[in-house]
Amino acid sequence: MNILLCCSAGMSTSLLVSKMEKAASEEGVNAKIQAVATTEVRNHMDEVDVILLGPQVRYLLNDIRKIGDEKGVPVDTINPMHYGTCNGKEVLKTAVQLISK
Amino acid sequence: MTSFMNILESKVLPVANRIGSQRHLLAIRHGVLATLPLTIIGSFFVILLNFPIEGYDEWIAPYRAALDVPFRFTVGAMALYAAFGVGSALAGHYKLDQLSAGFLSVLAFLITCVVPTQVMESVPGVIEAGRWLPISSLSAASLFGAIVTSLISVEIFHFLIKRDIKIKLPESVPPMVSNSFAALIPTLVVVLLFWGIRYGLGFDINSIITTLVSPLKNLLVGNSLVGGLLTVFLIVFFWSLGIHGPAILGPIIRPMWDSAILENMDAFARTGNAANLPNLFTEQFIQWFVWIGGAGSTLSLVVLFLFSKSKYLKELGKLSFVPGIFNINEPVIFGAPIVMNPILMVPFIVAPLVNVIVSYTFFQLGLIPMIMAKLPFTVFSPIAAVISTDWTIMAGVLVILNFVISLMIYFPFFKMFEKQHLRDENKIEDGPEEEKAGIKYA
Repeated sequence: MNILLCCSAGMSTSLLVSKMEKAASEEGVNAKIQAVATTEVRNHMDEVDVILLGPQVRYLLNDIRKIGDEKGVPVDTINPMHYGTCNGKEVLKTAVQLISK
Repeated sequence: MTSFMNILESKVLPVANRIGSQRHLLAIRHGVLATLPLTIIGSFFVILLNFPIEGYDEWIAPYRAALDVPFRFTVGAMALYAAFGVGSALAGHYKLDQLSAGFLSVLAFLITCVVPTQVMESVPGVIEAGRWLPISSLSAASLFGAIVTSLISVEIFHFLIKRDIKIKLPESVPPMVSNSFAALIPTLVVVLLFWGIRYGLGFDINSIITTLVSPLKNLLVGNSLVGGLLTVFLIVFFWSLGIHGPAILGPIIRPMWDSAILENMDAFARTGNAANLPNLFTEQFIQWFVWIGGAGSTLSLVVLFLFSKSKYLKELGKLSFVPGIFNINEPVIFGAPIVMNPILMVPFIVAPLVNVIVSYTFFQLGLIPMIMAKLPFTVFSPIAAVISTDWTIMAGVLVILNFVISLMIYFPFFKMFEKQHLRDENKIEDGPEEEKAGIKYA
């Protein structure tokens, strides 16, 4: 499972990545997680299973979802509270649910 | 209050969406932002050229010309790189060949903004006969011209490719070869157009755009207190709705910010005097003196959280403290949350505005000079402030003072918010435990 997180510069979501990786290994989920800037999302479309946007760039949701739909990649925003508290477990759960939908 | 916030959000979000996804504005933001590493490295050389050590100037004098070179070809040629960046970014959106688009943009920019000078006779020790380019026309002074010519060139490129107006070769010709022919007609059109405008009509696109933009630029990033307050207010306003403020304002303010700091660096490289530079309210001025811990001066709030009686806020304080030192504050903005929070929004907006006024006063009193360098935004504020004001210790003192002021502004609101939290935490015994499971050290 390949999860892409995305925020303005890819910096603040990278905090979350390590938390999610930890949560994934604890739960035995095989997941590759990476954080990128909004500018780079297009370049990763082909290699990921789900895209999660940081709440601060949620105004891009419609646009990125449009591209995601073409490739069959689900796109959603991260719950602000989970994002703020770096709750890797919950965000991982969101990602898994989106993929299995 | 909540319904008011919801209405506000529903009004602002579509606007943010439109600005944030408009292709030309996006290309400007991405293209200009891509020059960041160059200007930061260029900045190091400005610092290197001016250490406040006795005798340093004399010691460095023989190497000054050589040390100036990296600065000159980074900061000093910024518009050239921006032209390529903006053109390439827009081409990426249209799925055109980005390399060709970058070339076209640079070409249009050079024709528009740079006038080669021919020296007929050598003057020994001064200049040799031949053709010369004034390098200053590649600097930030041409940034707005670079942006506009790049956008127009790539639009022309896009138009011609879409209409399939290109030289067609037989199918037996390898695609690599025929692709290189695809850009022939666009190149010709771009050359004729911009050459015609500049040398046929005698119309200087760059100086006209620059003149048109300058009232807004002087207001927002120049020396006007109102402009400084307006910029800061807009950014915290968007953030308080949970929208990345600089990302939304970026397309408009980013080129102005960049040209403002580059003008400062250029003037400083020339005069070595930071007290008298063109622009006070550069991005870096706001970055170091106002955004202590991130937009909204949130490091003070994080410190208050560290000492909170609420378990949740204390954990959040621990989690946000280290990122806060490096001016990353998304955890506290979304975790507290400050977003859409009628209590914390008030100091989140007020504290930075007060910081602007205090810093402006310090400057007016001659206690701190202007900013002459551009450091990465993740440097610890007091240190960055000292270095980027030509080693003014008072700048570091000002950062600490601003931190204390924002601490005092946040304090009563923090208390109110904490009270709410404590009440909730005591009321619900099981709920918060689950919430807290995910919050441990960063």
